[in-house]
Amino acid sequence: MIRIFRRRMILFMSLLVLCSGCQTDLRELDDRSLILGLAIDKGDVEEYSVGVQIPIFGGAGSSGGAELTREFEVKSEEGDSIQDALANIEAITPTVLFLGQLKVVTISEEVAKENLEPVLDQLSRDSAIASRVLLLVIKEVDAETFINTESPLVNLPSLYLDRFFDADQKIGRSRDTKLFEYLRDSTTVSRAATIPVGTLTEEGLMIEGMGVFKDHQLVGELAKSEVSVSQLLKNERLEFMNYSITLEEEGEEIKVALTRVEFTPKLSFQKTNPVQFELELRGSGDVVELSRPMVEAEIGFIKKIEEKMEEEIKAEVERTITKMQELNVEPWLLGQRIWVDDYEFYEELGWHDSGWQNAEFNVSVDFTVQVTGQKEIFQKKKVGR
Amino acid sequence: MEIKRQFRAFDLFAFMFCTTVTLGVLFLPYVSGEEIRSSWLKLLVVSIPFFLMLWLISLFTKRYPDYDFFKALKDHLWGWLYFVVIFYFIIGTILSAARVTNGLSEIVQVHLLKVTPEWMVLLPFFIIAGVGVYYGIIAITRFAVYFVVLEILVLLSVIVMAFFQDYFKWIFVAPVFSTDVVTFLKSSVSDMARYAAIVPTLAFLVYMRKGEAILAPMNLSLIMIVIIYSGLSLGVLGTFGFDHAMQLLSPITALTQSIETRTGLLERLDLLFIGFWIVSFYKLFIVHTWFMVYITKKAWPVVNQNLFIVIYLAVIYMLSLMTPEFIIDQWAFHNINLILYGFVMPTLLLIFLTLKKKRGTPKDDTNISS
Repeated sequence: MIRIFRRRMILFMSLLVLCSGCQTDLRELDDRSLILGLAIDKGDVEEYSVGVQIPIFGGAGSSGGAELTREFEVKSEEGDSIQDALANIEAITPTVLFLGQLKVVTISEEVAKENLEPVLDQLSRDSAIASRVLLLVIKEVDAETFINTESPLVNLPSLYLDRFFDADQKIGRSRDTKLFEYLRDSTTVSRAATIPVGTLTEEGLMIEGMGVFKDHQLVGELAKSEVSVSQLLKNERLEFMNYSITLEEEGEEIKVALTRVEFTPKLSFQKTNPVQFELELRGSGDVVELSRPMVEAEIGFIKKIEEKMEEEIKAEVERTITKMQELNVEPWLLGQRIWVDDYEFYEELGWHDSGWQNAEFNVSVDFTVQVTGQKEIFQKKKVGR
Repeated sequence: MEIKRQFRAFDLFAFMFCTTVTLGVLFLPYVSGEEIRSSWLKLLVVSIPFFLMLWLISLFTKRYPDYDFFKALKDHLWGWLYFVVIFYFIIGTILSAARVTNGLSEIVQVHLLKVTPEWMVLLPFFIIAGVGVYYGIIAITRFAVYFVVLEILVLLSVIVMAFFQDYFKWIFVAPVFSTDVVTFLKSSVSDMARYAAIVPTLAFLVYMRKGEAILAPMNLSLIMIVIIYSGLSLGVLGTFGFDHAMQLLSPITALTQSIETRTGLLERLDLLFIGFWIVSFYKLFIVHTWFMVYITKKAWPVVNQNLFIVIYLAVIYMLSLMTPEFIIDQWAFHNINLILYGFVMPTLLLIFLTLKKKRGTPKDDTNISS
């Protein structure tokens, strides 16, 4: 009796599993357009112009019939909200837009300056969009033009960006900002966050520098070398930086290129008004190239490289700080540090009014050259003939 | 009701772990409406009374050799009070089971099946759960034992990965104590409800083999739960910061989303995680329904067990369809009710029963086969 009941149960359950396949959410892969990149520009008539990058499966090549030249298509429409624009795009595509595989959201400079908040709201509310999508601000050209540009290296622009930030050795390049990182940073006490900046050059896609946001508005930009310094000010270790300096030796200019430059910061502050930050940087690097072949490198010359490096990094750090103080925006969690440590002191400083702008910095740099070449050793001194 | 005492210490560990950990994991740490930053600390502090409750349970098993909590209640409480207690246990379990299914449908509708109506999402779940309860405690415990290792492994790996990502920063965790003690304790009360699902363990004890360790597996299980809850809360806080973490519907889902995967197959690790976690919902829900049927049968031995499985499931099904989602305002009431049901009442009853029977006077434990 029980055995019969069990058999019936098993049959019933398998029917049930079949039933669950017919529910309303089921949609075949063929019916979906997988969107890998979104481009958000200011619309001509309506608020936003939204472009979507859809890969074409089967890809370029001659597989079966007509030869395809592109591996993706970009469609765009305008709308007063992102959702409206997406709905309008759905009207001009045969399939349903699917944002589950979205990798990159590119935002034009104009939108970043004027109307970013509703965009972020849409991105963070939609459960199909993963919180780790990459954000990118596009300057000089439209975001749509940017995601419509093919790179011979990686065919799909969205995948190019994804790979760019995934590459292990980010030699002095911009760091990625994921949606949740941006949202997190803009809810810290300084209400500031950064997003990498991309543009188009004759060579193709270029990602360099970081846009600085305060209260969801693009207020400034950190240039290439300032991005590296930014990392130090966040009290994070800096690795794999390339750096070039110029030295004077016996009236002659010698260019020195350093690689694998790394710095470890140590940040502290004193509770004075204005607040006094102490930033100690200890670092090292390798010499890879000299404009004058160094056969007999003297210790004195290496010392000079070290001193020049210390001087330049210090100036770079101070310049970056001044730049952000002029904009009255602080994207390095410095205010957060004070806020965590002593809330009353933070209040007393009036961080957003003048506390940050008046903050003083004492930067000290200690740099040593590790090696002067990798497979040849240049430090040795010849004795005799 | 014939009872075969066959379960070992590990079964008890698995059973207790599995009944407690499901819902909290998905929605922790910020679930009470009014939040303070250091919820991980709250979860540590509020677990202390539950360790006391576990000690009382072990004391109870020493005084009552048949481990039968509900029989002891029947023997020692006044008749009407016994039925009030049983009734309250049933109501409390129905409410928390409805909350579980409500949470399940919420998470499924947000992340997986956006268009499918709620009744359709829940119906197969209830039918399969009903079959699970029908097969009884042995099948349920086997399910828990198989699942517990996998569950712990998955949760610990998510937590460890969260701590070792670049995004995790201790500066977002600080300051540890950002309110006064009174506010902290007041806000902690609602978090006590996170551990309230220990109650079905009271019914499970009866199936424990004589001579097996009781306190150690229970303590170990609770320690594990506390580590997972607090570790998860810390990981979420350090990765997303307080202000952003507070807005997340399911922080652990967001956390699994932030974990880097290099392969396209695991592009959406979060959805994979939710899929896996639905199995955990089955286990929790089946245990709760089994518990209700068990105490009903205990109080009224003549009732038809299968009929009651259907009745309870139907009631919970209707209740969870009727309860709207995002009822944060009413959670405070639900949480207080859970504390009464899951901590205050069992603790008082355990104290009463252990005081009633002083050490060294065991009696009437003959009708249980061992």
